[in-house]
Amino acid sequence: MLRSIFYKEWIKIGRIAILLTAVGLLLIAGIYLTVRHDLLLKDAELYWYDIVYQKMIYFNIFKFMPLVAGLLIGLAQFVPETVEKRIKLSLHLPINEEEVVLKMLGIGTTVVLTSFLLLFGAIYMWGLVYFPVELMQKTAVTVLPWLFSGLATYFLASFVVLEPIWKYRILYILTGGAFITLFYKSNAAGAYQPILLPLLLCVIMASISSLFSIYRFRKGEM
Amino acid sequence: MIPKLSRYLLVALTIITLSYVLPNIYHTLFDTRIDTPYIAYSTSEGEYYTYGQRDGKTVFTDRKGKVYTQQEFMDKTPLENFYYHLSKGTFPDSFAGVKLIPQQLQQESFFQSVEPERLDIPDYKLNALFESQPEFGLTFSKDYFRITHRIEFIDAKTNQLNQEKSKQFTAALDAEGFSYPATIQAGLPTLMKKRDEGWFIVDSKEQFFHLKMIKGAPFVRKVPVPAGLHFKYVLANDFDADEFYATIVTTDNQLLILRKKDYSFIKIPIEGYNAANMKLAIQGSMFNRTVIVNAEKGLQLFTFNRDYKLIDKHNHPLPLKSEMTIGKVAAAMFPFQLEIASPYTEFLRMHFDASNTWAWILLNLLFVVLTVVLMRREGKKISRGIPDLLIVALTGIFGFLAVHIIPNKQY
Repeated sequence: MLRSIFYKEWIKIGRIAILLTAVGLLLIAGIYLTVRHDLLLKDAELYWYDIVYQKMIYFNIFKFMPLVAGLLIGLAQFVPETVEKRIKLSLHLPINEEEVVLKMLGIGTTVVLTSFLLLFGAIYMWGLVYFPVELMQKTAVTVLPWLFSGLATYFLASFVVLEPIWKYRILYILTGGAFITLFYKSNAAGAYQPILLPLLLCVIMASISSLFSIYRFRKGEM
Repeated sequence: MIPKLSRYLLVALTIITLSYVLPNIYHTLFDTRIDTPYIAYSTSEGEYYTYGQRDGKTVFTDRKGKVYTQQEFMDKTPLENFYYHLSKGTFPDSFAGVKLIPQQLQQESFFQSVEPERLDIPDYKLNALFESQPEFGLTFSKDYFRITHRIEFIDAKTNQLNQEKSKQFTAALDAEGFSYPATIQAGLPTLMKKRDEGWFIVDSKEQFFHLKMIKGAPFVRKVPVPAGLHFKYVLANDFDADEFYATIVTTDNQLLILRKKDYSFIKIPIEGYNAANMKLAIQGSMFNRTVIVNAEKGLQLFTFNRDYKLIDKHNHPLPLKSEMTIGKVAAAMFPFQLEIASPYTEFLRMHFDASNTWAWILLNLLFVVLTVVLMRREGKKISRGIPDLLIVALTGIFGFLAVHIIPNKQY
């Protein structure tokens, strides 16, 4: 059963997930080719100076990439389910309804996480070619909340899309949007260090939100 | 069961979000400005003069509240505003038997600010060590150093360790008994300074060192630390006054300077300072030093002679937002607020700031009654809505909105 669900979900999100990961990797390639160019052509110590003392974030262009990826993967996976209420078919399978939705979510989450892990690995490992580990640790602490926001956006997108009533969808979008701003409160590299764990807990709290939408759908909310 | 759990998780998340967003919207719309006045200690008059705002107008007063014109204020502070008196030709020739030379007055003046938001910041723990005695002016070092299990220099161009220099400087630190790693590194990594004094470093045993590079070779000096001193911040300076290398704040909020002539730590005896949520400034002149402690509740000024013996002090209270209408309304509306960013740190931290009054209980009860009315109108059983009512009772406006945004239909 899991294989069949995986196949169905992969048809919906496989291509877009691969495309978004490729775009992300290209973005990272662009970032590091620029870094290489600047280190070669300018005074390398001044480039480091801008990062270490002037709060320059050389990878700032990556900031909203995970958010967009999470949103698009979430929409690609769940919008087709709401067209002509196709989700009904999945809910009528001879297994527990919550289990079906959790499996769908699990597959989507695995795809999003795999993509993010690849992007995170690329940004961290490639950076070590040009910068010492101290600098890359700050890079990691800065990128992590952006990746968390991508994951949270994926969960919230599924929650909003599966919600049957438009009035609530709008309320969820407003609250969800306000929640997502918490991941973009500082432009200083490393500022999120003390708050990473609480934010991750918040993301985990949002992870099963679509079960609530499905519950309302099943109870016949229109 | 799981849908219920998912709903309560969503309600909790909504409460967290609203407890951050709603107070922020409120403060953005209704915040009021609190003007912090400029207060000068007049050496000639032995009096504090305040240059502040009252009802939108600039007002000059002394500490007894006597009002002066701007001209009178300038005349009362001839040494503090000596540039003005030089331009007007009213600069005094001497004061207290000392001949006044404008260049000397300028040279002896300094201003050291100690601002927590510029000290409690993410630190890369990588720093640039300049040549302190260059042949042709200060230049940037080509490498950055880290002090972990030894001192290591990393070339910025190649990202490779300079092994030879690392060994040479590690040996110099070892010879002075350095205990790795470094916990604090304070320097002035800029070319906008007259001379380079290298770095002041605190090691893992709270020993204090001065590290410089002179003609390519290490200069390390271990500075004896008075017993019981625990360093929190060290700020290096480049003042013409040439009196002290650095300003030190300890974990128990003592203020000290590291004197240049004998590497001794001199305590500046101030009271009521908390580095976590107050700004501080040391204003120096040819005749005295004034420390200004800027807290939310007011300014405290301590004036010392050049041997740091207290001459005078003054307290200037500021209106507290929590006692103004904006603060009282917020305290009554919001039982708590989620704070993430703080004006006293660059780090983000999550903490719930509880209301300082109990007035919010009234509003919370009102929201509970409103929730009961709405539940009745929708034909819901009150007995099945008790968890929601408890949430509203505890979290007030946030919970009320949350349980309605994430609705609890009773099927």
